[in-house]
Amino acid sequence: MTIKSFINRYSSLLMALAVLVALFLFWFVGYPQALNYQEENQLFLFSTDYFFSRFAVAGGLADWISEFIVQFYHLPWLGALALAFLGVAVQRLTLAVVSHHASETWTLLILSLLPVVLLTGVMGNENVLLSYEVALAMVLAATLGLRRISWWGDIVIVPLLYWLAGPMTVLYVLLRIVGDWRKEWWTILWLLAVELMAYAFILDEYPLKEVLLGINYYRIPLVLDTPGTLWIVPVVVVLLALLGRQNNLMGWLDRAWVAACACLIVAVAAVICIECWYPKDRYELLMQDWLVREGHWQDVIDRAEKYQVRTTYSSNAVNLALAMTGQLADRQFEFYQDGPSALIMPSVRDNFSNLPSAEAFYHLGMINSAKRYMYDIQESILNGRKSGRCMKRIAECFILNGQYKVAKKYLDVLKQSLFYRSWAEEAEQCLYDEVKINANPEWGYLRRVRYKKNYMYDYGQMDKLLGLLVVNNNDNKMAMDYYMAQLLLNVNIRDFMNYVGWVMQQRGYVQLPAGYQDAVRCIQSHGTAPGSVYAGYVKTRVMSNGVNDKQ
Amino acid sequence: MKKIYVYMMAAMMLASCTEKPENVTKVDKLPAIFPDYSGVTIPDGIAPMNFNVTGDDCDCVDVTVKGSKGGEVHSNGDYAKFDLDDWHSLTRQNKGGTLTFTVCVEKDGKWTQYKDFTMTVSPYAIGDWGLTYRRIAPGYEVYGHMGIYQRDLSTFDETPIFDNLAAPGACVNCHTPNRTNPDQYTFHVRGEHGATVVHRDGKEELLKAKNDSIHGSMVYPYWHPSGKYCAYSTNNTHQSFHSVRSERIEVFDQSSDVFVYEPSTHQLILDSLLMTKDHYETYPAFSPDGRTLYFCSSTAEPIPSNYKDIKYNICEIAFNPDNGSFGTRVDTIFNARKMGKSATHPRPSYDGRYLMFTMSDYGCFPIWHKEADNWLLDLRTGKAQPMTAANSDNTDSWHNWSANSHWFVFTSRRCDGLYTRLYLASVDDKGNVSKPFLLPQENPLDYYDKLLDSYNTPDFTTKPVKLDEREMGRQINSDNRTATKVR
Repeated sequence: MTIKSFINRYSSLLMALAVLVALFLFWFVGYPQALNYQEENQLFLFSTDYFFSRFAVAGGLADWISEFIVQFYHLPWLGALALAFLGVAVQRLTLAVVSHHASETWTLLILSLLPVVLLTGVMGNENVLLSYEVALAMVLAATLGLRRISWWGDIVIVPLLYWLAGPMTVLYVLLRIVGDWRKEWWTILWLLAVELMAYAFILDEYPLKEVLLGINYYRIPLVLDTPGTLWIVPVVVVLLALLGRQNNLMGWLDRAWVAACACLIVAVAAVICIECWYPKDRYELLMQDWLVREGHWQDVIDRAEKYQVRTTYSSNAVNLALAMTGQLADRQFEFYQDGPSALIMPSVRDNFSNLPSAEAFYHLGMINSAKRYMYDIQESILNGRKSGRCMKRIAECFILNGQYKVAKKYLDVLKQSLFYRSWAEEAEQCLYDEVKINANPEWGYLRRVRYKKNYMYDYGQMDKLLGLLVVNNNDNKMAMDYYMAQLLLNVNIRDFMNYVGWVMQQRGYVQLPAGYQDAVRCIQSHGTAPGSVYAGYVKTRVMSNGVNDKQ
Repeated sequence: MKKIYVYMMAAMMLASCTEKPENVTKVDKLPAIFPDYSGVTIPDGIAPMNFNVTGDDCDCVDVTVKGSKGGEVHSNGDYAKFDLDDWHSLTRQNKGGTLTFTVCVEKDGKWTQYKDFTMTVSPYAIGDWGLTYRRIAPGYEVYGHMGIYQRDLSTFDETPIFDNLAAPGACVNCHTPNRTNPDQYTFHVRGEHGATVVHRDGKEELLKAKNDSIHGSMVYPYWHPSGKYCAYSTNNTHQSFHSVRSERIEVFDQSSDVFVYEPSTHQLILDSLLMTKDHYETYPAFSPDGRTLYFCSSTAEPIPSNYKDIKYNICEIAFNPDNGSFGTRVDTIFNARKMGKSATHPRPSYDGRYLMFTMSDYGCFPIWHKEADNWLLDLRTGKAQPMTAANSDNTDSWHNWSANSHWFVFTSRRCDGLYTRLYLASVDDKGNVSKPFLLPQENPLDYYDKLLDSYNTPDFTTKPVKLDEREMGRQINSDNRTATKVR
């Protein structure tokens, strides 16, 4: 067998293999941070309650399967592999549906990549949930598997599929009409009637728009935000099915130049998808989020040295990484500093912005603030899901606070998950056991360095809160670094100069850290020291909105 | 949606143990059960008081309940679960009597019989159909999925009055009927599409959330018994957060006043005695005859530095419902400041005999105060005392009376220190308060352990509240609001 005949014979299989490898590399090497983001915005539980709560809504099975898969994103290679297989399934099903009435031409084979490419693009919007792709695969599988069922079978199949996969069922109806070239338009009306009946009698709390367009395909309720991109993939699949139905075009589709054009279309689509739907800055922030979560502090710094998004979020993440590696005093102003919020961001109502601040609070020993931020981040997930990451941190905070009854409540939830179970079981062993908790290197340290006296949190007085943290325990080195860093960010030169000597002594610095040297040089030269990075920051602050009146 | 879920869950409950107690060993101690229903007083017709045996895992629980006036129900399974109809018959038959619970527990093939415990069936019926309340995760500055719900007290059925799935992003709170009758009610919507919803004469009206004349939103409501008026406070509320482990949130007002709203004219009735600059006035409540308005008042102190000096007394002012005018004098009927305490959330019983309030060390928001307890002021004698039988060593607050004034519902954090749960207790003719019981659930341990919501602002309702959620969602999102004007 020649290579050419081998390729011709196994073209379909080779294509599937190529898709598998490409998708795996895309997610695992290219965008593992996207997997992390999806995983931290859900908490899949192995419980009948959980299954039924998903199943109680149209599209619930797709949603449940999706969340089942997403939990494996905890291990990026496994998540990427799962997504790659799902992508291959979509491609193979598309090809099978499209070429059902036609011979499998090279052009159709190549064009069958288009839905999976567009799907991957659409999922660049981090709020598009995997249930969208799962629903697509379910509907394509139903179209293929039930093609021999008579049209009357749709009286049962359409409502069933609607309940299992959601409004993506419209694709099933359209593919049945297009594929069989029969004018059974009543099935569209039947689907609409099913949706309206569900709206009237079952899904009493959901707005019509969500019942018609999908409750679980998108993290944000569709009444607040309806991305039109969600419908690109079904439309393309229908168009491909129409193309595959044109028998008179088959000879034409078999030509090499047509196949080459198909390749070009797919390639252009892939480039457009990545360029338009995977914005560099957003994905850089998602990468920081992942690295911070994993505690890969040096990687955060290394990436920021090459490229740093100029946002408060990025400043928070980089400064935390610098502090955790003992570099904050030396290098803070080598990186972008987004004003006084560069260390800790004020409370923001979304499920992402406050994550590095919450982590900073935790590592500083500001346990109540860490818990508060994590709580609010979790409550900000707009589809009402809980977050395994947040719940784990909240449980830790309750353990540190000695509030074991509530901690157990959260541990009981986490114990129903796959990837948080072992941690929760270990943590449960520590409840009510002060010796064990204090012996844990992280928890023991945090219990020592946290606040001893009560203060009211006031974001506007962050420097004082950090100062009080230091006063409560001189061993809290990170709090000292943060305190000095906050003074510099506030351009509170008086306090900085007052405390720099004391901090040097407490921190055990042999010589003044490079960052402090630079700041002192800037201060002594009244902001005119050449090459001073701190002078650059002060100048930006003065130009933007003036500096702290304590200067 | 909920119906499907319930059916599916019911199908899952078919499997359970069915062992009968044999060779029983008796022990002289009470069984460890959740909820603690030993010695509580219940109304007849309440939902079955199912409970779980806690402590070591057990294989089977066998419970026999015998009534002092006859009747018996039996349960055998993973937990004590009683048939709804049999339970109702038993409580009806034993109204004014007691129920004795015999609990046997099987572990590793061995049965243990614990000391019996009793439950009193009150001679007073509860009178109302059920409860209304808000369920929300106990967050800080952010809320996610939440809503106002109602619960049939004779069963375990809970249905939403308004779930924010119908208006994503909306926060609803403070559902308040008129003396438990939902023909008139009000609640607030916060968020981007803020409003105060007033339901009367079978229709809803959405008022503008804010009016410049009152310098804020309409907040804590209380209906005039005639239904002609509804008193509200307007509060400039802030919250701050504690840094040490034992404390969580501090909510305080930087200003607050009390006024009365007349729904038929959309007029706000203001009075300088209820809008003083040197005092914070809040938590209004009309007396049952409608001729007195109770409210809480504290001297204004620098906030947040002196937040611990904010201590509220309970005051009253005469109110003339004929023309909606106030008296010319404010009297203090309970001076909590003198005791170094703060008294908030006054709720007169509908028979006019008592006034229940929450006592805490300071401030206007005892809900986050661990020391908060409910107190009862006898309006005939002017004497107040803590409701020791109903209070706990954790937060007990936000109470409301049943229509017949023999039962009250309140929130408590006694279970775990964080999540507020609903408790019910009775007050007899002599003012004796019974040990409260946790709102019954089908499988209470499982239900409350998994529930990640707190209960807020509970009240009784004489009948189910009827509200078209979708229509309400549409109205909330429409931003069509009725303006209020000052009379």
